[in-house]
Amino acid sequence: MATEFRLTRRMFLERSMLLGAASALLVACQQGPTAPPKTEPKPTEAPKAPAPAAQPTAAPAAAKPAEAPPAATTAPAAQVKKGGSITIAQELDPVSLDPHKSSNFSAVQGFEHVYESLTQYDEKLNVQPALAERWDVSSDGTQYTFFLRKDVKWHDGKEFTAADVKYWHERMMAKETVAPYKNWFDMIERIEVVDKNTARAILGKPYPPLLATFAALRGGAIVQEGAAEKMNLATAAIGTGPWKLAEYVPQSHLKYAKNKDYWNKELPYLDEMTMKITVDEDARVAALRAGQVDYGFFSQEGADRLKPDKSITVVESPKAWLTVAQVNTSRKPFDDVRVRQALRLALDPKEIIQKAVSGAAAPSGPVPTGHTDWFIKPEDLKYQKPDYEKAKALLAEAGHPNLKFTILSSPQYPEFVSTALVMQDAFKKIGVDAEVQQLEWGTFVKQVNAPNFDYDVEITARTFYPDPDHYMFPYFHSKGVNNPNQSYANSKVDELLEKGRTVADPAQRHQAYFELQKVLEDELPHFWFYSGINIEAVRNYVKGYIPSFTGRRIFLKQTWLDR
Amino acid sequence: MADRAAALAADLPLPSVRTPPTPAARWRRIAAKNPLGVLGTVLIALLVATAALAGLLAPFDPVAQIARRLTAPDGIYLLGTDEFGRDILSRIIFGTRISLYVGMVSVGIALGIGGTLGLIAGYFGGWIDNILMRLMDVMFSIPSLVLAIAITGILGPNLRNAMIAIGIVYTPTFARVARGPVLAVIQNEYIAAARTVGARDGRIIFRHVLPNVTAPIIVQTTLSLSTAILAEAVLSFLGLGTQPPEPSWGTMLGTGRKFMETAPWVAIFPGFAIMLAVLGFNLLGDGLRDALDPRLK
Amino acid sequence: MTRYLIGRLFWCIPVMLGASVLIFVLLRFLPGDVVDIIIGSEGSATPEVRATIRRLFGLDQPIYVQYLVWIGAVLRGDLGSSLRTSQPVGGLLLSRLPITIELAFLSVGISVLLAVPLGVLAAVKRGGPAELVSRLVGLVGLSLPNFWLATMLILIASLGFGWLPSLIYVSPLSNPIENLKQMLMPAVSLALALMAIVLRMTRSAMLEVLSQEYVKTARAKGLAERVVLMRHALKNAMIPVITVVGIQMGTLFGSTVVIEQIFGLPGMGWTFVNGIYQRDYPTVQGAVLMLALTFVFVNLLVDMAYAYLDPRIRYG
Repeated sequence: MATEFRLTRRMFLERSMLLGAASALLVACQQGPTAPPKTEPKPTEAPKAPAPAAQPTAAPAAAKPAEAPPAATTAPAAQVKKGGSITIAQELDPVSLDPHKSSNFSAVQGFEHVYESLTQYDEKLNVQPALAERWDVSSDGTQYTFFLRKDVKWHDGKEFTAADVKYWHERMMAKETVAPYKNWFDMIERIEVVDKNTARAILGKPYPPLLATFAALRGGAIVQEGAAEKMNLATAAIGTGPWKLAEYVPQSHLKYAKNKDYWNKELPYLDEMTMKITVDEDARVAALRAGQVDYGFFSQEGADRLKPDKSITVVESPKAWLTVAQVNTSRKPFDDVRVRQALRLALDPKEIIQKAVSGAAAPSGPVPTGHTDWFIKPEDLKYQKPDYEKAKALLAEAGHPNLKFTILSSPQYPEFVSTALVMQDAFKKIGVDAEVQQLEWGTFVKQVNAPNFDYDVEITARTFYPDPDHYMFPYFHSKGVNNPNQSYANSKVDELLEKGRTVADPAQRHQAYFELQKVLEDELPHFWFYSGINIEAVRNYVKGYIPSFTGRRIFLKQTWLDR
Repeated sequence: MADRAAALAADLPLPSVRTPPTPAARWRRIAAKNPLGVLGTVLIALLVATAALAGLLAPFDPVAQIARRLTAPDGIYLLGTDEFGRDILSRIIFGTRISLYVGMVSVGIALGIGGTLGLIAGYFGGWIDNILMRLMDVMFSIPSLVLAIAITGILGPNLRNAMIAIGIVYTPTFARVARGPVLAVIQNEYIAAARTVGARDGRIIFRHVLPNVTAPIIVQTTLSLSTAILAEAVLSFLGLGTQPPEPSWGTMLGTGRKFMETAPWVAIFPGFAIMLAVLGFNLLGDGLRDALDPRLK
Repeated sequence: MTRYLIGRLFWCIPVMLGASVLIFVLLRFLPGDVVDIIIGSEGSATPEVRATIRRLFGLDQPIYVQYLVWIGAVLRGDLGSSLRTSQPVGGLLLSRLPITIELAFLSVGISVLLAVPLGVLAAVKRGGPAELVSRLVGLVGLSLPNFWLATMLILIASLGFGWLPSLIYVSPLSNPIENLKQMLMPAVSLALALMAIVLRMTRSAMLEVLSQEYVKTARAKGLAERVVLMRHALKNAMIPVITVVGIQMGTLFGSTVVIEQIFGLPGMGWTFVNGIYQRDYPTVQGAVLMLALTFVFVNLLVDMAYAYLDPRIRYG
């Protein structure tokens, strides 16, 4: 067993260091006797390149496939074959397509091709112009003036104007909307329509992440003025994006047609796109093999099954999927930092990664590994190796040698249950008796969320948030909305969180968030385990698709078919 | 699968009252005519023995993560290990306990409630019968799995509540199975006679009615035991049954599904165990049915 | 007959009302409501916002008021609209019901087609190897959970034969052949368990019928064995078989929940369970009413089949 773990660790270090060109490192890793060697993931159109040599750093830029196709606007027209249609196996059923009323990631996957925001992400998570072609920020950081593109038309032919932006904000803020991401935008007091093509956002206080928050498209999607009053946004959509929603049959499929009037005249390359809702992974594997779908999203097991197939390319890349154990600091003895440290010392993130997601993840701190340049590199993270003796000593010192508690998870996400089981087994080694309880999702969210906070330890995950602030402020600020009964309070943490919100200078913000993460690593109000790897697979003729750290499929608009 | 074979009762005649030879000789004759029934009995006996002796038989702790994950069957881990590095053989052996336990408790609940309601409905007839049986219809008309999901959702997902849910879902089946023969029995003159001499209802039910409905109920019970095991598998597959890390065949099968191509032993062996148990109870049930049916002698 | 039918239909009303009360109460006892689900684990909302939306949906009313408001609307033909998507529930469910009904009927068809001949064989060749084989075949089908069968079918079809039916649902009206191909695997995964039950029923019913006087008479008259079996025995043996099929419809509808998800069929079962998980009360309540109605209707058909199969049975 010792040998095994040493092996595992080495491979993990490899994996995390290289997380960069996520691909290369995966080649080197062998998971175990049963796992076939990893193939080399790459952007689907790139010529076979030799695996990059091990790089000591995981520079965020390198985290994106280096051979990424050129930006769409400059794509050599000769190379790209336009037209045709693609079928995508969609792994989740988007319950609603309303861009403001859903917290489900599946909803984003359904509407992200139809709607746009003022800004957008490129493949390296740089904020780029979208509906706003440029912007001015006042020197005090409280006024953003957006100069809107003049050539944008809604899918119904209407012209896009500043009034639409104003309408978006009003809808987001209305109580009746129950927008789950309202707090991402509620620092905007109002939107002023300066003229038809200029909108000004007036903020109560500076908020440096604002531009990125638009690009994240969670709550930031602009809908047409009056849209909610004249149509059902849950099932229909009129956007400005590269694709028009042509048909939506819940639990069956979504059909998109090319928006011929898209402001970026080059895009999209394809004429048509169908998302077949296929929640069962076996069905997705079978469908991709049979050529019924051209693209699918998979677990490590699914990818292992697909890799032997020569007509399929598996692409692996880091994605924001930060799995954490939230410790309820409003309950004794979890308010005691020594207890939290002791529990954390019993856990081995590498083992959790192996057993929960078959190795498809990298160790992570409070900001998911791979998130531009905001994260602590995996090799610099603390608490990556269990120390049972120290853990027992800490527990004894805190006066809780025989601790008992419950770990909550939901079978909605099997990897949460698996994580809980590994934790339970590890805690036995320090004499801690943890019970694992799984709850149906609705019950789970009711019980663990504000205002109930009824749990000892719960397992959950954070998807892509645009800024470190989103990963930390709500949870660790003494006034944070998701801080259990606002029990966790640390003046240093508060100070750094507030600094990150007010300082405009990127270098200073950067420094503040690194310092903050270092403090949190020892404070451990949460246990951060890993950030996931996006495993996507396409038929070989699918070209130009680039994975996104956001987990979204932003670049389907520049995907084309070579056949 | 809750209500399968409810109608068995409909075509199962009442055993006519006649004196058998010696019981042993009778069972020998039945066994000789019914090799599958014997096979079923043997299978169930083996399962019960495994469950009883699980602690002795299992080579490892069923929940301990002791080995490397997904080890193929070898000399140490005879049936391999799962994705957590737990010994599959030990988990299957301990899983026998859970499966039999689920079967017995949930069927016990259904038998207790449903059987009683069926007896009462059939014996008293009239509006009592009508109301009780319409109530059963109400439960029948909601798809069984949906009912079970709702019940476990309310009570909280764990093994005890899964057993309660399965028991409730099976209740109307037992009510129907019990009621049918009662309706036939109370036509008999000796019941009318007992009533006219002023025997209490309770006494009539226990002395005269109950003995005549045991045959279909025994058959239904054995058959339900097998479907209850499957029902637990489906509930655990949905995360609403046995709580991890307790070994449940259903959970093992459900999570093993994704390793079917890369590590097939994770799912195949628990699947095989479920199959043997279900097969055993079914063959036993069919065998009993043939044995208790006088016309098939 | 007519009077009997009217009587049966009359009894549907309290049964359906009872089913609606039962599911109404069950749903409201489930922890969490649609607002909790919308906020999810990542979003956040103030108690004030949560209260506003609950009031908007009428969830702040006492449960009996909610029920009366809902059942009143149902009696006027309005099943309400989804709390998640605002779609009218009636239309939504009507588009889903045919898929589930087709799936259920196909499975019944497949299982009866396979099970009845095997059951007859088992009865006629009682005690022989033919009985052994046919019963074992039947029981193996029953011993496998349907989600497992479905997985295996997909695996075998795609790996073994490189074939897979269309994953996107095709309506039988637009392309009946493609639709049948697509429904085949899900129907088979549901049919195998039912097959075992029908097989057992057929076998025991045939055994009973074959011991009856009129079958002996028919044989004595010198009728060919095939004619005796088909014309006399089988027809009478079908009554309990049909009963069991009718009762099994409820189980079948339940099983479709898992199967529809695996094969991506937008049917009732999936809608139903999604509705429970989303706490979308009107959708679940509407679905229960429709399934209960279907169930009652199927059992009415079963009763009518009795009259056809056994001329001695006359209703009213």
